[in-house]
Formats: sequence, structure tokens, C-alpha cells
Amino acid sequence: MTVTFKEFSAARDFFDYKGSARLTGGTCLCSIATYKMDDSPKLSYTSALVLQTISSGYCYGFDIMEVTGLPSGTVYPALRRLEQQELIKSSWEAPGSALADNRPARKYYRMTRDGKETLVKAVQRYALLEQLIRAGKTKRR
Amino acid sequence: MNVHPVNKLLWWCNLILRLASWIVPRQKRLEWRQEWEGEVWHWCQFLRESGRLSVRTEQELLSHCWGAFVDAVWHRFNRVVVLTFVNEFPRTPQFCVLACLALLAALLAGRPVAIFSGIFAPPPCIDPGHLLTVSLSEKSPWLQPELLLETAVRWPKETQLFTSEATYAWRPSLVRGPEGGESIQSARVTSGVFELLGVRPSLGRDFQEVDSENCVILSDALWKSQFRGDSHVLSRSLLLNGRIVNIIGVLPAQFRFPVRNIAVFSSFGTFPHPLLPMFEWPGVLLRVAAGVDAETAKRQLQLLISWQGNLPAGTQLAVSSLKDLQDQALKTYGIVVVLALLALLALQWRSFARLLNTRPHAPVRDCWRWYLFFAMKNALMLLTVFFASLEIVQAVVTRINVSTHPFAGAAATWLFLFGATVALRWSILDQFGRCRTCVRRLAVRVNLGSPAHVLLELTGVELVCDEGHGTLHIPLMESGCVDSERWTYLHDSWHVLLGSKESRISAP
Repeated sequence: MTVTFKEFSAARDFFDYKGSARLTGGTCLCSIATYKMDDSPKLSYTSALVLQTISSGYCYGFDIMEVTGLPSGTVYPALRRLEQQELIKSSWEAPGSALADNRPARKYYRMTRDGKETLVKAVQRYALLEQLIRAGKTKRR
Repeated sequence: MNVHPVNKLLWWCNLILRLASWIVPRQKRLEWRQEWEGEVWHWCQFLRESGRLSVRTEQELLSHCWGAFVDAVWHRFNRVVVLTFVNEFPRTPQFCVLACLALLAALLAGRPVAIFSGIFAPPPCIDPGHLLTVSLSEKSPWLQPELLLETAVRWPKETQLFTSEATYAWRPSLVRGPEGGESIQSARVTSGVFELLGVRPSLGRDFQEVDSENCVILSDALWKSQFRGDSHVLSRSLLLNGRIVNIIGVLPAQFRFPVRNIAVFSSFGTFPHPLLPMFEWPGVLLRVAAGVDAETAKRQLQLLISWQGNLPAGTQLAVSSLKDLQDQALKTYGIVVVLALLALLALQWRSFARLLNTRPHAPVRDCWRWYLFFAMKNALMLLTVFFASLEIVQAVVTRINVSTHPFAGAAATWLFLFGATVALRWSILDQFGRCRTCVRRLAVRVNLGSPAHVLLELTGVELVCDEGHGTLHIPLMESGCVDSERWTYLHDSWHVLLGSKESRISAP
């Protein structure tokens, strides 16, 4: 018997544990589905800090290093991982404006929707990060 | 503010970045360097314009540039890719086959086992394709070696098909040397036998007409087992069947007498032949002339033997080429392996039946891949066990300093049977825990129900293919019609749930 994921997703709202077991021929799919649906990436403290810095408007690698005090060997690999997880997105600035100013173009980073959601969870997870954000806001005021 | 220090600083930074960029893969290198150089340029300008340019900030910037090496290494050896490979590759069928091959290669890397030396090692004599052997057939009555010698001497003279001949007579013997007694096989040979085979003693010399009856040449194995490879063995003596004999030579390690595993050779004419019949078995080796086909020579020799009437009535001589003997040996090994495999499958029938119950039953290609992998894995495992058992027995026999041991064959057989049973059991269990579509190990394991509720609800384990191909249900208790082991295919839409491999372990 072959069951599609759509059928299963629709059915699991109406069937209890045993009911879904009969439906799928494999009760474990219920628990895997529940686990997987809540399977957002868990960030390390460094990555969360980098993500928070980008969220605060610092979008260049060296700016992030300056703000966080982290070395380039930590910040750049963290940026690569966050980009790979699609939590941030990189873009090159328009070449025209850089050319007009006679300077090299820069690459900047911005948050994605997934990144914002993940950051919210990360902030809840890391109490110290939350305190830093609060302190930053108070300082700005 | 002076512009010169900034340019110098930029030059140094760009040099470091250029060096680091060589680590980055070629297709990403240019973009990577542009990003870093752009950042460094802007940072230098920022330091200059904000008046923060000092020796300390210059050093800070340079140390940040050295950090580019870490970033470059990340690009080259992406942690996620490496971890994915480390986690995923051992579960693939390719890993299993490669591991078996590596094990097999490790076993065969050194000296090939003695039993297969004729197949894997260089041939023990020159041009074995042009060698014929004549021996008594199974139904023939015993023949006195001297009678065969007299007959065989005439064959090269009567036909132009052969360039030389040599007669031998082998028998089981007992040898006693410095390391104690040994049961071996010895042979009396005519003086031209080693010349016919194209072999020269590695130590000492060949037989000569003037040699007394007590001169012998040893095989390499006996020389090592009795004299521990002593190079001063010549002119030393040992006891052969109760007689003192002198050693005049030692044969090379790769030499193997074509018909029997002979450890001591003595001269044919000088050594007194035994009076008891059926105690010594004669044979003849013939070198086929260059340009003559071995099969043609074989047929001609059979005709010649049938015409000659000087042999006792009822004597039947079998003529075979060395190639025939090798083919026969291979055929025998093949039959033994097939029979052993069938016997092992019968022993493992219960496990095998479990595997058959959950076999793939979808596309033909999946079924082929499944069975092909199973067959290949078993073949490699059995070969590995076979070589390992021979090597172990060989190592033990060598350690106890005997050239041949009467129980070596039986020990190797039993060791092989035991090892093959374990290997086959493991192979079936391994196959059982693999996806029926992609043949990868099932990675996700979920326990169902509670053992306390075994009769009330479904309890057991479910193994899920993390590619989303299907699930394997294994009940805690096999209860006939209620619950049984089964493989359930999942629809392609389950890929949405089970996701890509990289995202599962990409937690930074």
C-alpha cells in the first residue's frame, strides 16, 4: 500500500495515533512527521550573534567583525553557513555606483524570512543575547 | 595624512588574500577575492578618513586578512559537505563493496596463499603450456617405475613432437632433520628433470651422473622448516625414510613440482626402489617441441602409447597437459564453493526467508540492484573468508615449523565454514536493514508501542529510509496473521517531509 504525504497530512488531523497507523501501514511516520515539521535549524551562539548583527543593520563582513569583536576567521565561515541554510542572502552592490566612485564593489548580507523566524527562536534560547539586544535598545534611546 | 602607508598596507593585505585564494576552489576564487579585497579596501579608506590608521589598527587589519585563510579552507573543505560525506557514505552500498574489496586486497597484498600460487604467482616452470604429464590412470594396475622409464626414454626418439622427457616416481616419506620428524612426499627423478622444467637450484647444484645414491635436493619449504633457511646447509645431512642422505641443493621458493608437492628429490638410478608394489607411483614429464600444439602432441602420444606393447597388460596411462590439470583444479574449487554456498544458505534459511519476505517488489531495476548487491557482497565476503582461513592456517603451520601438516587442509576447511557462516549471517542482516530502492542502510529507527502492550497494539520497530523510499516494519513478536515483517513503499511526496541530507546535519 502506498500513501502520499498529502493524504497523510490531511488524515493525521482526524485520526488518533492508532488510526494513522492503520492508514499508513507505519505508525512511525506520524512521529517523524511531527518531529520534522518542527525541525528548524538550531543556531550556535556565534551564528545567532552574527544573525542579530545583520538584523541590526550591519550588512558587511568587516562591519560585523567590528561590532561583534569576532575575528574574520569566525565571522566569514559563519556567514557562509547562514547563507547555505538560507537564513541570510548575499548580493553585490550595483557595479555602476561603485565604478562612479572609483572603488571596488562590496558584497552585503541581508536577512531572509526564515532567518528572522530562526533569530526569534535563537533569542529566546540564548538569554544573554536577549539582554544584549535590550541593552542596545536602551543605549540607542 | 599620508597616502603612501595605505597603499603599502593594501599591497600587503592583497598579497595575503591572493595567497589564501589559492585554497578556494577555482570556480569560486574570483568572487571570493573580490569580496575580500573590496572589504579590505573600504576598511582602509574608513581607517584613513576617520583618522584611526595606526600601527595597531594596521596589525589588526593584517590579522583579519590572515583569517581569510580560515574562510578559504571552509570553502575548500566545507564542514557540512565533509560531515555529510562522513555520515552518509558508510551507509551506501558502494562503501560496503569497497570495504570488502579493501579487505580482500589487504589479504592478497603480500605473498599469495600457497594453494593458489599456481594461479596468482608466476608459473613455477618455464612455458607450462608446452608441458605434458603421463601418469597411471585410476583404473590401471600398479606399474614398476623402471619399466615406465625404459618406455618413456624411447618416446622423443620415435616422434619429433617432444624435445625431452623426464621420469619420476613419488611416494609418501618420513624425513627427520634438526627440527624433528616430518611427513612429506619424496620423489626419485631422472637427471634432466629440472632442466626440462627450466629451473635451477637457488643453492647448490643439479643432479649429475657421478652423484651417489644418497644425494638429495630439498624444496624451499623443507629447507626453511628444517634448517631455518640456513645458507650453509650444503653437505649437511638428514634422515630420509631411515637412510642418511646428503643435501646437494635447494630449489627456489616459487618452484612447485607440476604434479605433486614434493619436498625431497633424489636421483632415479641410484636410489634403491622399494620392493613392495604400489608403494611408489611413477609418471613422466614431456616437453613439447616449439611450434607444436600441445593438444596435437597429446593426441599423438596417446596413439603411440596404445600401439606400444611392452607395458604389462591392463596398464592404462593418462596423458594430460598442465593446462588441463589447472582447469580441473579450478573446476573442483568452483564445485566446492557452490556446494559450500548452498549448504550455508540451508543453514541460514530462517534469516534468508525473512529477507525474501521483505524483498523489493516494485520496479525491475530496483530488484536487480538489490539482488546484484547481495550477490556481490556475498561473493566478496566468501572470498575474503576463504583467503583469510588459508592464510591463518598457513601462518600457524609456518609458526610450528613444518613444511606440510596433515591437518592443515581440514583446519582450513573448518575455519572457512565457520567464517563463511558468520559472514553470511552478517550479510543477510545487513541486507535486511537496507532500503529496497536505494540499497542504503535505513537510518531512521522508531520504536513503536510499549513491550507491555504486546498483545493489545502494534509494537516493534520501524526503520525508515531517509530518502523517503519506504519503511520496514519489524514487530516485537511475530504473531502470524496479526502482524508481520513488511516493507511498505512510500509515495514520492514523502520527500517533502524527509528533506535533503545536508540540511539534517547543518547545525552550525
